[in-house]
Amino acid sequence: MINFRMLKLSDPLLWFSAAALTLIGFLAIFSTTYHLQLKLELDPLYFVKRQFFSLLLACAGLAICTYVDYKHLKRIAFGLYGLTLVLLFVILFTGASAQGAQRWLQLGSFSFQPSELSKLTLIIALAAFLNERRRIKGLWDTGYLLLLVGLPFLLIFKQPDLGTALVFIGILLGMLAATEASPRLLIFLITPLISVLLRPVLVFWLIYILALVVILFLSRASFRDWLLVLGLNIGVGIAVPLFWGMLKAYQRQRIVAFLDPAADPYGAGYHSLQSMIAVGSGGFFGKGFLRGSQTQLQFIPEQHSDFIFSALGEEFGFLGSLAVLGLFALLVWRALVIAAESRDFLGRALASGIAAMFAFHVFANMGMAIGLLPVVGIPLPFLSFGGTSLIIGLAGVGILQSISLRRHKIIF
Amino acid sequence: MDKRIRWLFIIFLVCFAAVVLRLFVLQVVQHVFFQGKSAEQRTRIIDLSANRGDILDCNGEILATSIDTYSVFSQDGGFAWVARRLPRAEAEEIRSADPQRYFLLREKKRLYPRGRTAAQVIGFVGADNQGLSGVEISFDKYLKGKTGRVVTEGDPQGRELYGAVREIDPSADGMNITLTIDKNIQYVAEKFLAAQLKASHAAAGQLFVMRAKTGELLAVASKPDFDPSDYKKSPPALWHPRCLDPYEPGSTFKLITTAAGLEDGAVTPGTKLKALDRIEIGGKVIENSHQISWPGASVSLSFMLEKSINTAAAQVGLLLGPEKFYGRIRRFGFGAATGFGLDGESAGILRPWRRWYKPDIGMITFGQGIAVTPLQLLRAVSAFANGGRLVEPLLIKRIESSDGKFVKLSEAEFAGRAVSEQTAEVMKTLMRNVCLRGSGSKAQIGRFAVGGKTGTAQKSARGGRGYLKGRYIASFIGIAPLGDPEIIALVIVDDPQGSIWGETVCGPVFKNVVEYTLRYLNVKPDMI
Repeated sequence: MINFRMLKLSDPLLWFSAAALTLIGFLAIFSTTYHLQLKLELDPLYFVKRQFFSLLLACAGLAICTYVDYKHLKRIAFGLYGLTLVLLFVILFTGASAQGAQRWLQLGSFSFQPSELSKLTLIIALAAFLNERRRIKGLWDTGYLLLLVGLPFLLIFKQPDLGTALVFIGILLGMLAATEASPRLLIFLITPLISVLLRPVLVFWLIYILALVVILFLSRASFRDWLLVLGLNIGVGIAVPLFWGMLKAYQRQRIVAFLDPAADPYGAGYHSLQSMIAVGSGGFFGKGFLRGSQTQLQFIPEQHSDFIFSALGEEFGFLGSLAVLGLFALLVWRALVIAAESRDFLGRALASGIAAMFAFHVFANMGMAIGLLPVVGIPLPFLSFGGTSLIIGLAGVGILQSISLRRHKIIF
Repeated sequence: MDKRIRWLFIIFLVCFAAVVLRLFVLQVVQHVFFQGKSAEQRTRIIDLSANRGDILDCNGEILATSIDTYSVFSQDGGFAWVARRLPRAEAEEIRSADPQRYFLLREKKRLYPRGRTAAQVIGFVGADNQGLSGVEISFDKYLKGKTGRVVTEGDPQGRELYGAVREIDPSADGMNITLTIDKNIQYVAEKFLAAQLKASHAAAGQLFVMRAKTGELLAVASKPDFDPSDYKKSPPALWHPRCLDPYEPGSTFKLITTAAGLEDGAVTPGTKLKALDRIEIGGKVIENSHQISWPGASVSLSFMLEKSINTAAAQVGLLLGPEKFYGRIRRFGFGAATGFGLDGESAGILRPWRRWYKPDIGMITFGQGIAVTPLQLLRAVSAFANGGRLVEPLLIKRIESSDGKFVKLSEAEFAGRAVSEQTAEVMKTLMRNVCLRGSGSKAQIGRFAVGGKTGTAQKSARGGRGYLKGRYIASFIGIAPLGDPEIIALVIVDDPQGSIWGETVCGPVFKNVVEYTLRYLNVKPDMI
């Protein structure tokens, strides 16, 4: 079945970075769970075994994604998208709850996270949509695009899973930037995001709106652009306080805690502070594998999932952290190269979407582990414990390889 | 890469660079800070409590000990005691009402099985078992032991990590302290003292029974006292051992005056003193406390002591002169605390002779214008029982660590020679005469030869000069048996009503307690 000549065209650095990261992930999961499980008198290798089982499934997915020509994805894109919406809808009512959020769908003895799946299916759906429209023009296209992202965004936001919802925005912006979207469209989308960030301080936001007016005036924008830019920004400015009210108390606390983690060291800021202590105490060379006291003493709850980087930072230090970040940079770089060299628009859109997904995850996850960003629950690709995340990550790698090895338009 | 993808890559790289920068700050620049935080968080210090030592009487009977009790605390919001120091069953019953909120803690409780017996000497402990008075505070450093600690690593739930112990500083239980007190003699002393205080409607009283040859204090009674298990019920003034405070000894001090005169040669047993109802010294008229029926124009030293004649004693002082008299008094140990055991003993009040007022050379001869502690007086009188040498009073017999490792043993200590052996012998005879023919007659004990001296001092006004009219301190100090002295006892009754005389107020108490003591100790009578 597998054509080995074809595999020669796959991207070796991409294979390498994904494999290395997955391996490091196993070390980190072992480090964060082994002693805890022992202390609880449970199977110390429980998490490692489960992740290994997920890896087997993920490798199968990886093989399939690599082997199947990605052009077929556009045919099933909307089917997948619809299925994802249904799953997201279903878990709002039946999902297993973890820490106040309904994120898991129980299938027999397996649990499955539709929100992880939704990242990839959104990329495929967006790629298929952009492939059809090429250059987004007019209100209809923009509206359709926003609806495409908005539906799963709202469903996930309702779970609530703020982190994943934010990933969608990253994916959308990344894909638009890499394809043929006009700079104007990006401005329409990006300026409201800046509004969201500045709105908490009313004065900043008013200055920002004033600056937009000046820019619009200087660029002799059309009446329609004036209406769109100011309408969107002022609309967001009004919506943010309402939206803030909609956030769950713990989400608000997390954002407040991010701004000042030491204010409440045992409350909302606990995670952030403990993670910073772990990473900071690791120093330049780290404390050594299984020697990180903060990690081995379980100062950081859920460290094997979203806060896995704190264990790496503590046990492998600045050098180890740089190595992990370097591997991710390598991965993102290869993904973007594959996007640039792909034979068609669909491949470019898919690859840039996957690159944006990885980049956003890495930045947001590491950022929260080192107190650079607020705590939002998204995993670190390949490293965090979690089957769905691993399967989706490797499926993304598979799609990238599928694009890479078909870049020369050779007909097999 | 085309322009769009390159821009995207640059944006991603900028984000990653921010992460690198932040990592550099945390892991390199602020590394030491976070390392400290990390160490601080995981270090657990577990205190190992030490058992407080027991206080025992000279026969090993327990006077103070510690038992395990259970306290209940709650921890919703903050730490708060619910109930303290209960038997286990009671504490568990309280806890069972709400096991989620209430927790048990084992705490030591100090127990005084003999109640008020020797309360002022033993003292008591506070809420955290720290000594607050008496032996409990003076020997706290021995009794409390050493709280040990284990430094280990723990997780956020406070669980200790197996094999993570970094430092062990073992606890050491407190040492047991054996007193010289005999609980039986103490009990009898307290009983007779209390009965006398009641009969005399007196404010307070003290009774000391000391072994003449070793200085061991067999009883240190003081009334009124307090219950060490419930000390808060009594006024704080009662918590303080009275024996640490000085008082004006009155006529008991004539023993010292006489011995000083004899030792100096200023007087001899045959010296004739003028029979005077009054004598003027330094502008002050000194009178006798009672009308003396003079046998002639002059009296002997012995008669002076027997009838306790102030005007005659003053003549001995005049014969000595202030400088010599002061020197002799100092040689009896006055002006320096005894160091018998408890902290905070007064040195008494003895001004250097150059600062004496003119009448002092007369006043001091009969124990006014000088203040001594009862222990100083016992020490001084011990010289007469020990051939002129002073014996230090002792309260602590032995301090012993719980593992039996011997630590400290108090032994009879001589604090120098006050007078010659001859003078001491003469003094014994003179003291015997007081009991045979004079004011000490009520202190006589059957076939034991008792010698002593009464005292009836005017109470000095607190903080000022002058004396309180109609307020006295009656006392009696004596040695028995004189042939081979075993016991020196001192009875002090503060502010007796009705009869104020040491002879009537203190003599019988001395007799009862010392008689019991001599029989209890199987001392052979020295008279047939």
